[in-house]
Amino acid sequence: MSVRPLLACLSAVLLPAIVWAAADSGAASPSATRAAPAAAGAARSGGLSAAALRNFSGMWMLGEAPVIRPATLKPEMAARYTGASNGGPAAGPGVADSARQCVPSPLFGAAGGYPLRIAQTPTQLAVLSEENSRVHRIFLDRDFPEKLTPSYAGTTIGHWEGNTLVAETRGLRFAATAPALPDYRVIERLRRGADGLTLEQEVSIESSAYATPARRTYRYYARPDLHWQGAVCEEQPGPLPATTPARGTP
Amino acid sequence: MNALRRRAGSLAAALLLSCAGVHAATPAAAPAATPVPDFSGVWTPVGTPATLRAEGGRKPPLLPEGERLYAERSALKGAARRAADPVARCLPPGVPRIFLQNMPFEVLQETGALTVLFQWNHRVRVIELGQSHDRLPMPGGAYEGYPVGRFSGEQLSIDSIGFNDGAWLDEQGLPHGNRLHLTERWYLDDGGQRLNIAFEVTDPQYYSEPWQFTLAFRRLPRTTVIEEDVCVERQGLVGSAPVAPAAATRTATPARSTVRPPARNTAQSAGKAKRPARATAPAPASQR
Repeated sequence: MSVRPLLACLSAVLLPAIVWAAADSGAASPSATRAAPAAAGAARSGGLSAAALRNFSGMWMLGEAPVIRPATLKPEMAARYTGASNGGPAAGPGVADSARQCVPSPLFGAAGGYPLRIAQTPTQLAVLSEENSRVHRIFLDRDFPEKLTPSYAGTTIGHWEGNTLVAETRGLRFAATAPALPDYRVIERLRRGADGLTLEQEVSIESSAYATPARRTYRYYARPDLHWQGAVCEEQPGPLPATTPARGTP
Repeated sequence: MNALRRRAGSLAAALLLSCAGVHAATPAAAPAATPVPDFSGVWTPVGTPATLRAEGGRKPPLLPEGERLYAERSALKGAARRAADPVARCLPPGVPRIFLQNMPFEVLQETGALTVLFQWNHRVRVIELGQSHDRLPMPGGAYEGYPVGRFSGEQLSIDSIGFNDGAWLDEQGLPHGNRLHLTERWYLDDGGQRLNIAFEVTDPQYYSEPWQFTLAFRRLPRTTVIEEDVCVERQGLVGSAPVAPAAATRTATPARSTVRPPARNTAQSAGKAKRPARATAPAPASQR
C-alpha cells in the first residue's frame, strides 16, 4: 500500500489544524467544530491523484442530513396518485420503498446510522449498506440488456466523466407502498472530494410523470475505523419489521 | 492553554483518522510482491449436500449434547421444521450453510478485502485481509462470525470467530455454538474454473474434536449477474409486491396501511435488536 497519499494528507492537514486551534482558543462551538474540516479541506485541494479520486473503495458514513428536494408531478398526473401514502410518488425510492418489510429497497443514498461499504473493481462498484444488506451494484463494463428484469435494486450501468462516476438505474420494481411511475430512472453522480475524505452523491430521480425531477444530495465521510457488520432485518421479533435498527453514530 | 491543547489534540486525532481513510481507501501504487490467486467472479455450487459429512464420509464427531440436538432437529417435519429452521424464517444461514443453498455467489476481490455477494437474500460477507481478530471490533455474536483472511501461496486462509449460535451448519440441523472457530482454505484448480473451500470446524460445545470437509464451486461466465433473491417473498412471509410492467401507463398500486418510516440515525428502534448497536470510534469532527 502506498504511503504517498497518507504523507501528503498528513502534511496538508496538520498545519491548518494547528493554526485553526491556535487562532480560536475560546470555548468550542458547534459552528467552529463544523468549520474545521472545511478549512483543512481547502488546504488539501488537489492532493490526490486522478486514480485515487476514482477510487471509492472503503467504509463511508453519512455526514450531514441529506438535501432532499421532492419532485413535482405534472398536473395531469397528480390526480392519479392522490391518496398515495408514504411520501407518494414525489418522494422516490428509498423513502417509499424502504418501508417494505425486509425487501431490498433501492440504495440511492444511505440512511443515517448505517455505514456504507463500497467494494470497487475495474468492472463494477458494489455499494453496500448494512441496513438489511442492501446492495447497489454499478456495472462499468456493459450496457443495459435489451430486456430488463424488474428488481427492487434495478439495473445500474455507470461510466466515468472525469473523476465523476455517472450511473443510471432502470428496471426498478416498485414495492406495494410505492406507486409505480412511468419511465422511471435514477441518475447518480458520485465524486470524491478533492481532499479525499468525503464522497458526494447527487441523485436525480426522473419520470415522465414529473414536471421536475426529485433531487437529493448526500455527503459521506471516510470511516476506515469501521468494519462491516451486516444487520439482520428478519431477526427482530414479531411481525416482520419495516426496517432494521440503526447502529453507530451519524 | 490546556483547553487549546485539548482542542488541537482532538482535531488532530480526527483529521489523522480521516487521513487514515485516505490512506486505506487509496489503491496500492505498486503491485504486490507475490501474485495472489484471483477468486473474483461468480461461482455456483457443485452439488449441495443436505447433510455435511467429515472427510472420508464419516459422521461429524458430535458430543452427546450435539447428538441430542441434531436428532431432535432431524426429526422435525412440516410446519414444526419451518418454525425451527432459521433459514425457513429467512434468518441468515451463516457459514458454511450459506454455501449449501444451491445459489450462486460473486466474489469481489480487492487489495484489503474479499466481498462475497450471495444471491441468497442478498446477503453480504466481507473478509478482511491482513487483519487480526485482536484489532477487529467484535461487538456481538454474528451469523457469519468475523472473518479475517490472508494469502499463503496459492491459498487464501480465512479464520472466523465471534459467531452467535443462531445458525445450523447444514440443512439437517448440525449444531454449532458461539465458541465455533471456523477455518477455510480457498484454492483454485482446473485452470481457475473450480473453487474449493476446505473447512475445519472446531467447536468444543458440540464436537469432540475438529473435523473437516470440502465444498466445490464452478466458475460461471464473467457477465453472469446473480439474481435478486427476496427470502421473505420466496418463503411467503410477506405478500409479493406487484412487478412493475415496462409500459409507461401504469396506475398506482393501492397504498398499504401498515408501513412505518425507515430507520434513521437515532436509537429509537435499537431496542429490538438482538445484536446491540456498537459504539463506533470517534467520528471526524464534522460529523459530531
